[in-house]
Amino acid sequence: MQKNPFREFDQIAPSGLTPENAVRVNGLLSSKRNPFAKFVEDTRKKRVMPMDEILASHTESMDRLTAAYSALIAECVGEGLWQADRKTIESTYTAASQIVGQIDWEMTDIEAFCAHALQSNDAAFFVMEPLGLFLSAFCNASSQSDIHLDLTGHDLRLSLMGYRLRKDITLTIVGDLGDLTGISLMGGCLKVEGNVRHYLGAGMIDGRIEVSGDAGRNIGEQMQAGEIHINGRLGGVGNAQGGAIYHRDHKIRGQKASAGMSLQV
Amino acid sequence: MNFNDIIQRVWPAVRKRHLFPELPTPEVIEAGEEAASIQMADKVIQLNANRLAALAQVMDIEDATSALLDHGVGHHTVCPWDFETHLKLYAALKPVLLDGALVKQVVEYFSDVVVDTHAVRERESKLPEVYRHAESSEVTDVIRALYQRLWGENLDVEDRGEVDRLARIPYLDASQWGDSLRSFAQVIAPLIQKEMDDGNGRGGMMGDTQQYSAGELAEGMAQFAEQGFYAFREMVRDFADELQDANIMPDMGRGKGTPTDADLLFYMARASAFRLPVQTIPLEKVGGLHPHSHSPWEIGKPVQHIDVWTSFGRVMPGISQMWNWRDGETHGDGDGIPDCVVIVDSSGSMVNPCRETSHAVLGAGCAADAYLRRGKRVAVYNFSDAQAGGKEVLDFSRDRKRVFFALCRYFGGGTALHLPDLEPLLKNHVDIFLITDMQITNLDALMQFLIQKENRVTAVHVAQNREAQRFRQRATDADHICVYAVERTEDIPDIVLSEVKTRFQAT
Repeated sequence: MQKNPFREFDQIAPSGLTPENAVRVNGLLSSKRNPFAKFVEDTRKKRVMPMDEILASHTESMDRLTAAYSALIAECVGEGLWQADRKTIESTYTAASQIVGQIDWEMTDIEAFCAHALQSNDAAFFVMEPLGLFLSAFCNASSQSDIHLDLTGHDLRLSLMGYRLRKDITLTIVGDLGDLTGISLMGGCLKVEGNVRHYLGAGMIDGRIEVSGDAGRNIGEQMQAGEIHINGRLGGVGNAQGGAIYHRDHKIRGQKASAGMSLQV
Repeated sequence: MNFNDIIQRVWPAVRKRHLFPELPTPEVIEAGEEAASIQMADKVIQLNANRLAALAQVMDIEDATSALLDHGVGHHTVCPWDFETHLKLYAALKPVLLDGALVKQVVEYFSDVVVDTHAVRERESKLPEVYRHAESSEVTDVIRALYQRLWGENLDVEDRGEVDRLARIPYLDASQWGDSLRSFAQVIAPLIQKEMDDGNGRGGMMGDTQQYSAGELAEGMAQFAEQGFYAFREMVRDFADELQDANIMPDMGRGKGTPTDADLLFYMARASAFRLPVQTIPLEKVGGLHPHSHSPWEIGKPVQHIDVWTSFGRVMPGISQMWNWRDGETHGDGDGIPDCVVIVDSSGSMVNPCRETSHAVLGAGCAADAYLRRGKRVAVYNFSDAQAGGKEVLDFSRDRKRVFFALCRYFGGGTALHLPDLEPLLKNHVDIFLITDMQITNLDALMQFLIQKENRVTAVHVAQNREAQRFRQRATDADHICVYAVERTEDIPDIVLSEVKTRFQAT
């Protein structure tokens, strides 16, 4: 068997060390386990700043709201699919309102939660459709009359934002939204600085919707009253029962109700 | 007041606080408006004498100098740290804000907040005192109010509503900088835009100017090129000044079929990310003998081969040493890798490299880069209808810009080579790299021409067609020609990288 030429190094050790009274570090004998050990721990005092408390509080709020949303998903979706039909929307919104009433929150938390939800890889946000209803429940429960949500910079488009927005609340959303925006509006004012998809203001009871960008098909489907103003391009107007739809200050659908079934969810 | 003396006094303490960064001693400059101008090319922090003098009126000058140095060092060691990180931040925000100038300013402010907060929290910096006396403006006041909230220091500024949203951003978590920057921009960008509209845009709290070295710029661009052709073009447009200052912009002029500087830079940056291996040509016997090793001299062996220097001055069998002679092997005058002629097709059937990513040009660029990186010269024959003048011929050159300029030229006409043009380029056994869709009018003449030559030929055809089949069949018997087909154009760089190595090894 060939002799290991480096074996003799075992016998050579600084300061009279022997294999019995020393430990081996990277193949060499040493009296200390790690000669750089004192550099491992940064003993300098890090300044404690209010920033730490703010971030801790923010993290706590996001965790609380995420847990609340997870509870909503567990209650209304479970293992199945969530589909935006009237019954499901109503029951989900009712559950969301109950959850909102049970937790502590501020409107600034909700603004931050929007960004957190759209950026997060948390499994709770794999089902995004009810998020619009969840946020709408917060808006309707808010004591603020002027609410501003910024959703720019995200590819995902939230649906169902502004659901049942009540009177005396102005909700301004910056960014693009999905389907069923502002449905069943109840006298509030919804301003969208971006584009929306189909069924804008469907079944709205009263109030005002302003969209600075484009809107998809079936705008104002089964709306009963109120006004919808669109500045960009139109996909198509739905079968409204009342209210008015404006495109760049031109009224394209009058106050007079047309025949058809009422869609109020 | 001699600021250089003050710097000499405080600089060792600043270095110690920042864990001894490898930075030269900072300088004081008289000109400019920036408080702490950072010359990233040579890593020298430059402090503005006028700003220092102004700060000396309201606070201890050593504290002011130390604080400004904290800020400057932070840009080197924390954020953005290098041009690649700078571009990553830029890329995170560009699709949201679109306006390049606005994006750059938001990134500047964001990196300032990161650097300042890091310095105050972890480096015991005196920056709060500097910001207490900072000039007031719409954006600056919001940032100062943010600092007041984050640091818990009284900076003599009124609290602002925007701070509620800004204070929640985890500035010191580098892994979240992309998302943090977007959240930051939602609040700050409208304010900066307003200042820019009023003509007051400054770009960062300290007015930093960051000039990166050419190497850092090239490395950052190579990484950014993966974002895609159009993103890269936008980036070059937004960073034109920085690239111009670093002498990176090709600035090759204009004309029909001429690539823009951005397009040229894209292919140069993209190609540099690939590392094409080039095998050396086999060694050849040159016929001469050279002394190779020693062996004991014995009686009967030639005496003249004894090495007197290792034989102790004696001629004794078994003791005297004699030379063993071997045949010499050599590559000749070169070092085993010849120069290369890249023949690239830019006819109408090929993708215009200035409209979208041309993988044919990219593949040719990778091949050219492989030779240039080894100090070899590259000639380019870019042809469309060469006989009608649709061609660009570049003689052997080591100038990378000129090579890529010739490769990126697009004619978009018919496809024919003028073979006499190639003759002067194919002397001295240079390698040939041909990339085309093979739909060449005089393909038979080209094949005959290549078969007769002894140069190593690597031919890549980017389409499966009858002409390509014909070329493959004719090349079967020619040992010095290797033909590669690619099912998808996007595969060209990969094929070049892996297959050429095999082909050269087989030589």
